[in-house]
Amino acid sequence: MSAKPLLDVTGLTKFYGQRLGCEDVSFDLFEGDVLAVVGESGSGKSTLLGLLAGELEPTAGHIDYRQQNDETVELGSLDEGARRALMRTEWGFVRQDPREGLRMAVTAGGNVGERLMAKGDRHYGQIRQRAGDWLEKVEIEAQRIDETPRSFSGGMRQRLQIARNLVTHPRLVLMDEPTSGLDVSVQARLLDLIRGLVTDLGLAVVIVTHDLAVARILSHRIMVMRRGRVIEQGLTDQVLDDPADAYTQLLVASVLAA
Amino acid sequence: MSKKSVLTFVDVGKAFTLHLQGSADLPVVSGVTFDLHEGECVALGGPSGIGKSSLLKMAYGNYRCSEGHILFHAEAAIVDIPHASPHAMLALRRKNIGYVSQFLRVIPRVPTLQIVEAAGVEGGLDESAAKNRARDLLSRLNVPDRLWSLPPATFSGGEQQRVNIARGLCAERRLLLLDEPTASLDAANGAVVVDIVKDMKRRGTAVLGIFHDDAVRTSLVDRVIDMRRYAGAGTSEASAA
Repeated sequence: MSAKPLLDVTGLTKFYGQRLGCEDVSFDLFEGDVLAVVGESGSGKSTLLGLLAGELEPTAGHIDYRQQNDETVELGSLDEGARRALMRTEWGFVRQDPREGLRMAVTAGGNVGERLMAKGDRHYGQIRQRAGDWLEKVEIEAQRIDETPRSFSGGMRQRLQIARNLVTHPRLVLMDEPTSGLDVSVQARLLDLIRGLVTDLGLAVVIVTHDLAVARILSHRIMVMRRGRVIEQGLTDQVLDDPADAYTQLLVASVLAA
Repeated sequence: MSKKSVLTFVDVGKAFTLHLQGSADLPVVSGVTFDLHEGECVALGGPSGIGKSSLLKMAYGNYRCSEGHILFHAEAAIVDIPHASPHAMLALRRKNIGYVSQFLRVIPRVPTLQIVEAAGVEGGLDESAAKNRARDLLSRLNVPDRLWSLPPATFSGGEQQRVNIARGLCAERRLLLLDEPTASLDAANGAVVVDIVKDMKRRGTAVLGIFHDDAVRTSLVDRVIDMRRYAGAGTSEASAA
């Protein structure tokens, strides 16, 4: 493991005109680190994710990313093409609504294979083979490879989105509320799957969630946001078991046994 | 004592600030100062509510300290646990510090043997050593081998507890924190836990724990620290004095 972090975020700030999105967010992330960003809606966590994904332009601050070739780049300095290429190859983004992260009119196999082709794979048989392997990994029956996700349940769509993102072995994965909107039993299965894959692949993950139980299961560290600012961060079990900030105490006290 | 220190508490204090109750300060402990050495087992004594579990959790970095230092003497350096970065703390937990409570935080869908083995590998054993150790622990703790390939989620409470102990004791540890690990185990299994921990002590592991079981105390514990000495300033006794 390199001594330099994979991702180094400093003073990240976003204003929408006068309105604050998030302010002065700083953290680092190494290979294998899972960081949960928690907070209620409007806390700025989605803004933060949008900034990390390069979908929003920061007002101030910078994001340094150490690439596969060990060269560190500042995300804001990349042109649109280079940024997209990075997102396709070294990064993944699992969205809350799988319909935004998938191509709904394309088959399951195509959804997974497309990422491989974008990375330069051309051998159809191999692409199909690897897509099939990944469907199996996310527990989707191989025979459904030629169906479109329109015929899939919510949980299956989310698992397919995960396969699509992980097939290219990204180094950093952003996840936006990946389990919300699913039944509890489906959620548990998905969480367990994510946990296993993250450990096996040694992924660095930033996961945004309002669900403290999700943060507890998946993350090593936690960052609590409120009104655009980070109010507390630290080891996940420390922040959840011994919260220092008044708002975090309220958050922890408001849920059933996180 | 010529033995090397493993963990040193220096004026450790802890108070919870309860923001939801008018920012009331709830003192737990203060002025905790003692040393724990290689191969030694120290029990925290005193009535419930005196802060024994809190102190263990502070040593594991699960609770913060309000003041003082908890120095962990690692091979290469001394780490002050309350001031360690999350990365440093996670590394200590992986390699050096084990914590076993009575409760298994169930890991869904992972087979029992794999849970125990993985703890060994994460703690630095090579894979075959971890496998052997995991099998040895599970059979000594009377977890029937037909259960080893199943996830523990559906096991009885006692079985889950023994899986949890096997997991917590699989890796070699420099420091072991035990929060009543044998509570509600039957005498035979309690004795097995004592034997396993004794073996680890002989290999140099320092043990800090809470043990309510007298049999466990007499056979395992070298020294008792009475936590009443460190009752948080502001408790009724202290403020009356």
